[in-house]
Amino acid sequence: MQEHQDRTAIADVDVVLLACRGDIAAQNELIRLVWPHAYRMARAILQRREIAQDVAQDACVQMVRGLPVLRDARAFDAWFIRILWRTVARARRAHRDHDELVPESGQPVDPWLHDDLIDLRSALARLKADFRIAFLLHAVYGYNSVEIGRALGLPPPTVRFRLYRAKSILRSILADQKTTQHSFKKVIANV
Amino acid sequence: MNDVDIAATFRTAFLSAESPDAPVNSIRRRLAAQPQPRPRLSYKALTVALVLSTTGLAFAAPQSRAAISATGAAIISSLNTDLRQLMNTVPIPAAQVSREVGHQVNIPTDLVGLNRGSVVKIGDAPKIYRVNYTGKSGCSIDLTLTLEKTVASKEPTFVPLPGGGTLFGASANDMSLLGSSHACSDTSGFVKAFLANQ
Repeated sequence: MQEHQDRTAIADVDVVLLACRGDIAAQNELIRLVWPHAYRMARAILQRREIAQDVAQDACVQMVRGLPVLRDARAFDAWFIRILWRTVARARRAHRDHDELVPESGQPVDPWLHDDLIDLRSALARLKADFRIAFLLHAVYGYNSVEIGRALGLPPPTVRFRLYRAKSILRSILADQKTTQHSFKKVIANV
Repeated sequence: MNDVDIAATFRTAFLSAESPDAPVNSIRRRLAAQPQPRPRLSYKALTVALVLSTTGLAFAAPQSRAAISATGAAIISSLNTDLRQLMNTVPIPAAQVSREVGHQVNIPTDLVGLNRGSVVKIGDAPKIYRVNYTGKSGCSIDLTLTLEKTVASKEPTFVPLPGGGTLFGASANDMSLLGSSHACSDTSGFVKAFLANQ
């Protein structure tokens, strides 16, 4: 299993440093930087747009609150993901009993969800949420199992197992798609 | 399709997916609506504060407990604050100390209106003491030594009294009884006073 991918940084260290010192403008800029990541990750895990927005906002609130105690600005990304994951987990627990989180139906809203393309989100949705977040952190942000373990509070072997299972399931899902290769090319071409 | 392709495809699609604009104002409103969290203390600071508070409360008489409770927050937030000030130490001129009895020293009660449990300071000595007995003629004060000095000593310790003279009979054995009954029979028989503040 390949552990290292290209890194995707969530926030700029200089902005984080200023935000930690209480600079309001820097904090607002930091919110703008982390927001797309927070929203997309929450959306990918929780499936519901309005809940994802609420959770992402809550994570941003907690992030701003916690900035004064952030010791190392370089560790911001993992720190924020930990906050986000905790918020997401809380939302999952809150909605478990009342409102089962199911993928939204209707018109797709994201470019990667167009009907004529492979439905990546639906493939991802077939993974358990625990597998999904591990896979996203690995595939999108380039985290290895140790870093994911730190962010999610899991031992690295558990993370490796989840990554292995996630990839196996996704591979089988994607293999079933006859137009997989063609669709992927269209996805990338549209970016 | 191999793992690298899957990951790369998801990565590209994920990062290019649209998301609503960052609701900075909404997040700011949430921040303003939530109460400010309490300042966090280090474990070391909390431990010291807990020991100080517990020790003070355990040894204090009821009237002193209120003072300790009232100042508890100040102790926790500012561990460098002088304990002597927090305990409302009553200064007693050394000349007013009239008589030495064993490890006790008697002073007139009406001097400062002392009660059992009051914390006093005699003369310019750096130590502070706690009143452990009050009567019609006056009150007595334990003149216990600093814990480190006394416990380390195996022999009877003779210490000059702040008000003059010598304190005798305070030994390691005496201090080992701190918190339990004391051999001295001319007082309440209970060694309580220990608030060294060098």
